[in-house]
Amino acid sequence: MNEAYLRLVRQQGVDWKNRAHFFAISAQIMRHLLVDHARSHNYAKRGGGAIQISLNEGLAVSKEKSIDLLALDEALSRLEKMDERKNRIVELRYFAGLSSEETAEVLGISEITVKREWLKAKAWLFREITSESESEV
Amino acid sequence: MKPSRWQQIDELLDRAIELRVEERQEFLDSACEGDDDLKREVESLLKALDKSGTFIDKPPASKIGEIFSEMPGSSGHGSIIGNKLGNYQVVSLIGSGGMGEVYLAKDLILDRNVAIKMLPQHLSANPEALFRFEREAKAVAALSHQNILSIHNFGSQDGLAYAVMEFLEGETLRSRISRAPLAWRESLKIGAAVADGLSSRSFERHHSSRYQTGEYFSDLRRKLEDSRFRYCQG
Repeated sequence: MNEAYLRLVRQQGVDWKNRAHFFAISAQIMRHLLVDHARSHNYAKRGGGAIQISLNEGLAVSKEKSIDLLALDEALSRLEKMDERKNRIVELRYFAGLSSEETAEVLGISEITVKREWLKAKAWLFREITSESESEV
Repeated sequence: MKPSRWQQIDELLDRAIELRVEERQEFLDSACEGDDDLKREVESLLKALDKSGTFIDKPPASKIGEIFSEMPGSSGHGSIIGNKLGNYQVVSLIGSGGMGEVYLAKDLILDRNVAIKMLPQHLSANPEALFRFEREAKAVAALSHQNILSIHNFGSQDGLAYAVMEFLEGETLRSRISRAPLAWRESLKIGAAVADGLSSRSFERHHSSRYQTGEYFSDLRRKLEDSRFRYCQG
């Protein structure tokens, strides 16, 4: 059903070195899944190119404030180029749902460092995403 | 941006975050030593941090739920294929989406095919979702028009809610359109059929604005259906 997922799951000869490796891969799988999902749903919403007006926006059960996952993914890829560690922290915390304590354990750094890096990554990503949507308007 | 520049910004951010808000400006003024670009960059990130609130603090749980419920057979029902739900025997999975799975089933008493829509387990346990599912089923049950999908039954078993519907072969308009453009005559026919369904009196009375046009093709029969039943059958 999902190419990124299948690609990762079927990866032959994955040698799980340790817990950190396992969580890192899991976080990347979740990131791929969510981004692919967002992409296919965005496409479907556009009706494959035609304009479609939905009468049904109110049906969503979730009250979760939605984040543009495609924009987040792109911003995160830019962050990764400058600062690999922040990218990994965001992947582990946001996509794999680890706490800062667990993230610290997985990456072998202190929890204080995780929290500090997290705040800076969050600030940077937030600015990237909001300035993008402002410039589109 | 060069990594060395980013490192500079990063370090200043660390130090500024540890200060009280009113001390930050003075610190930046002296630490940036006339490098206005650097100062602006750090200031803008501090401002973004203030505004970011709970941004990305929680994983996108409902999206993750959708993904797993869209994996055929993995929504927590186990495999119900071959099982009986009331008088219906489940034959095969024919479609799935964020709001549930649709199975082909056999009505063992009337000896005919039906479509059974099941709410995924995580939604069956959600009172609001369950309430909506039931309300939609009731709304559809109140309608009677040849272009509107009909519902036969509604029930629950082992904590899973399901709706038994007319089984239609064909594909959804959505998938038909994404496959290839429709000829204008065909579009017109479909549009007219949709309009007929939408304009039926019962439809107007019941939640008309809650419906969108997700209709089935079936030997030129077209059915309007609730968007939550928008599955491809056959």
